[in-house]
Amino acid sequence: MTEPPMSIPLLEVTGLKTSFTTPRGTVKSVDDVSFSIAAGKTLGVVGESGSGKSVTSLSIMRLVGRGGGVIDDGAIRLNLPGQPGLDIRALDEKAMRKVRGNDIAMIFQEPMTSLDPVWSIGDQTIEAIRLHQDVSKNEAREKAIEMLRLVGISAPESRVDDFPHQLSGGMRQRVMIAIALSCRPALLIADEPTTALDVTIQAQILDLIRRLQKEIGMSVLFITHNLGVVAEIADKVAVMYAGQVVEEGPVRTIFSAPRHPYTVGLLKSIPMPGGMRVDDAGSRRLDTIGGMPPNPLALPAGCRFAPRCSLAIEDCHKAPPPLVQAGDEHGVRCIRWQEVSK
Amino acid sequence: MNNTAPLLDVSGLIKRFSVKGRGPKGERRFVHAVDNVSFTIARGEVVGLVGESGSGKTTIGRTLMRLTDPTAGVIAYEGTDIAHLPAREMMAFRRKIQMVFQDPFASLNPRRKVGQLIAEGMEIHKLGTRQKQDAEVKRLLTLVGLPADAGQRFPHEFSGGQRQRIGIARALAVAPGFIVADEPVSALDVSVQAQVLNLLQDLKEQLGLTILFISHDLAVVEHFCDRVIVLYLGRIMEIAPCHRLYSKPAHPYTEALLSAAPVPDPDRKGDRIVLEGDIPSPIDPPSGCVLRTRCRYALPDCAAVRPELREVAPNHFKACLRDDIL
Amino acid sequence: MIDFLLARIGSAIVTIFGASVLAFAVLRAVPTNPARLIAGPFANDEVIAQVTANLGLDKSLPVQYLDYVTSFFIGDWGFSYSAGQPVLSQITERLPASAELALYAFLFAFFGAVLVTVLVSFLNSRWLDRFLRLLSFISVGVPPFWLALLFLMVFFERLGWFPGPVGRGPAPTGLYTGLFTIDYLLAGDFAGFGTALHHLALPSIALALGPFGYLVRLLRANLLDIINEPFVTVLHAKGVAPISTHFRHILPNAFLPTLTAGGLILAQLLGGSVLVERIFVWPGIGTLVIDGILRQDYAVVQAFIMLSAIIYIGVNLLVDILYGYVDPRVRRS
Repeated sequence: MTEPPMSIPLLEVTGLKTSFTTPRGTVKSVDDVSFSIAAGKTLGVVGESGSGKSVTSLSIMRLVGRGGGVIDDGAIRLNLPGQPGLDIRALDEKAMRKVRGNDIAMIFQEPMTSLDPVWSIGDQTIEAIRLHQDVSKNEAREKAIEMLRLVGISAPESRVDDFPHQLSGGMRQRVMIAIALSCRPALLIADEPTTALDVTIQAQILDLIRRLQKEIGMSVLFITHNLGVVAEIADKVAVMYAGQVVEEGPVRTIFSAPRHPYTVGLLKSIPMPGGMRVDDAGSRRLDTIGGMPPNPLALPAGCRFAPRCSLAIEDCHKAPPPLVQAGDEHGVRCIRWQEVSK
Repeated sequence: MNNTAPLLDVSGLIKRFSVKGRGPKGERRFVHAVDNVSFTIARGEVVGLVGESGSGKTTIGRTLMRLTDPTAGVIAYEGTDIAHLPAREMMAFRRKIQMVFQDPFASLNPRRKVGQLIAEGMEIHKLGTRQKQDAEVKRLLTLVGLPADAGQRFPHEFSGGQRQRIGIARALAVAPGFIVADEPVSALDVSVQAQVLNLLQDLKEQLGLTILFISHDLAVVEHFCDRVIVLYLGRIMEIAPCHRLYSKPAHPYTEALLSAAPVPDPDRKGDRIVLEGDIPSPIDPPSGCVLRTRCRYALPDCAAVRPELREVAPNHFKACLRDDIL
Repeated sequence: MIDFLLARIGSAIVTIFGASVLAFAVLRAVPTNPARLIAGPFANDEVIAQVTANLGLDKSLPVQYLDYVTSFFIGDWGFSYSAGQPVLSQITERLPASAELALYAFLFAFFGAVLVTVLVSFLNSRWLDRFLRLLSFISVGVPPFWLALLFLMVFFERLGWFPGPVGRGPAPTGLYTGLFTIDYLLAGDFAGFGTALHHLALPSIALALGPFGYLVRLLRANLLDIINEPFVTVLHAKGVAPISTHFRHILPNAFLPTLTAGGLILAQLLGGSVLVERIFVWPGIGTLVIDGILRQDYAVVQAFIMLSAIIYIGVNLLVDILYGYVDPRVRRS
């Protein structure tokens, strides 16, 4: 467990467990996940498909039920400045709706399908504003226009009445951000917000999120599979694998001195710009992680990464490894972390 | 590579799609998907085709396969123009040019076994006897790193990376001379992506494959390709040998693209060149240079003159009027 | 919007043209000489020649066609020899009966389906959903004439709750629209209105059940699709209450295909239903047409084909305009 930090973090997630019941058995999508996000900071959550990163974010919003999921255990605490801490899991549905979109807002991967096609973008922004703020329709419209201008939509006075299909993917993601930030949330959860966008548009959106984060002073939980994006936007990183956080720490530590074999493997398997790895035979080859992630219905008894790990010893297969401190704010779920180096 | 003539010589390739409705003056309108594109690919070469959505990279791939007919231009494969070959004569070339798709099973019959799927091409082109085909399927499966008995199973029993291996085996089954790989690793997780890239690398070295590698991922292209073609809005902006393009980009678009790509290194700060605004509509592209509306180096001349590709260094071409930048 | 309407009118003209050719061909394709049919079995050649000339059957086909089309548009829809009156007056006499029946059947089917389906999907109860699926399955499968007979047996013979097969009931004194319920209301006669409704109930429900089941299926499938759209998750993440999400966002999206299907159903119902009309002795178009066919009174059949085309076009135009109103993607393009 981490030392209690000097200031209280905005969001504390401890021992979160979320599972889905499928016809073939129970899938523990998120299994004992803990992390915290400091006010104004960005936590990047990286992982491949099925690692549980999106389910984690939906659990924080308490939106897993729609997909048949249940939060089995753990605590989610939201500490808004100057207010008593909120126990997210204990809130009733009505109180939870006041948190959603107001204190915690969320943006998603698919800008093309994340907006209601039969509502104008203005009306969708106004809807969010009027849900959480006691303002008139006209005031809300003014605010909506203001938000659209803030996210870089030109001539927002006329665009406010546009419908989603009239906008490009990048523009729609800007609208999504405008809606999410219209109530100045303390936490923005961004679930792969740039994955469906082109690189040049991705750069614009990342810049926008960073700029607005500074202006509003919010924290960001940034979920992505792209290590490059994480390196750019995150202050702290949590690496997820098969429903667990296997390594967490400051972004520089994770990229320069990772201590979990999976993190190391991931970093080595991406083609590095500028650096071409040529092996002894003169061939350009990437390092790979052998095998595949475990079947979520039949997880290994010990370390979940052990079957693919070149450093695994007998003990690794016996019991699940605890998250141990490998350094300042640096946690690793590996019993052999001292032997791991990049 | 003793043969000096290129395997593939594309010149003046144009593909337009007509659009419903008419313009303000009642004129018919077109999406200019590919607008006068010329390039060559040598035998054994791996050429990357990079661009964002709407750049025309997928359309070019599909035109080379004649999955869509070009509006104009020449596609010379081993000296024969296949751009306008009638279907019957095209048949022979369909064997020589194969495609690897982003999701190889989206377009395949899920009720056929993997072995049947791989053998399909051999059946169509009547290559070998049944026994020989069976043996070939086993050889191919082993070649792409799958168990030889995988042919007895159905596609849905395989993971994404394994499916892509099957897709590659399927393409190789008819011993093609040229492979168009359209975003073959884009849908895969990073760790699996590396496995498939390594496989492609091995096959390329073992079999001397000639590949057009279509991708939006600059790092993957840099890793895998010999030469790179950069597309924007249906036109070629720059062509250069890989190491040269990444170290000394000559075109403002390439510069911006490279600068926008996120790098897994938290210490890389430095100024990012952000291209402002959106990609213009391919129905009504800007006059002159198509990049000028977003280019930080644009001059008044850029709106008047359409820049042609010109050689700025050996094998390094760019379509930009300015010489005083980069 | 003007472009859109022009395109619509263009396709309407094509449809009318096709229908007119079909209607024209029907008369020419029959093996018997219409003139002989009309003149009767004992007419001599002279009389037949006279009738042929009267009908214009001695002219060339294109001229006959042109004559036919022009007379159609000036309101001369031919003469029904079996009824001894112009077809147009027969149709205007009988159309309101079919239209009223169709309208009530449509209202039952459409609003019933929307109400029930949306409610069930909102309540998100597995049992109710199963029941709804069963209900739609049965209602699509059961033929309306069988249902009509069953209704008569149970609700008229056994229970005596509803009137028997006696048609529309007493007509209101002042006929404005020809729709009894409306005319009674216009006259302020609520008892008469009740009587008219009472007569309408069994046949319209018998007709409505099939379309009801079909619309339930369609809307249910669309609702399930829309509920799983990412934008619905976004709405929840914004803190929008489920009731608002369901009725203000999901429903309008899922509703669009139902609107198209509803239009087709209305057009079909307006064309009259032969069997149900027969069973309830309903003086509608369906009965008229079937009699026309049986008596080889082709002027009636011809007129019916054209009428169906016009109804079809009219209803579709209405649907398109409504669609444009609900769906911004159509409105703008």
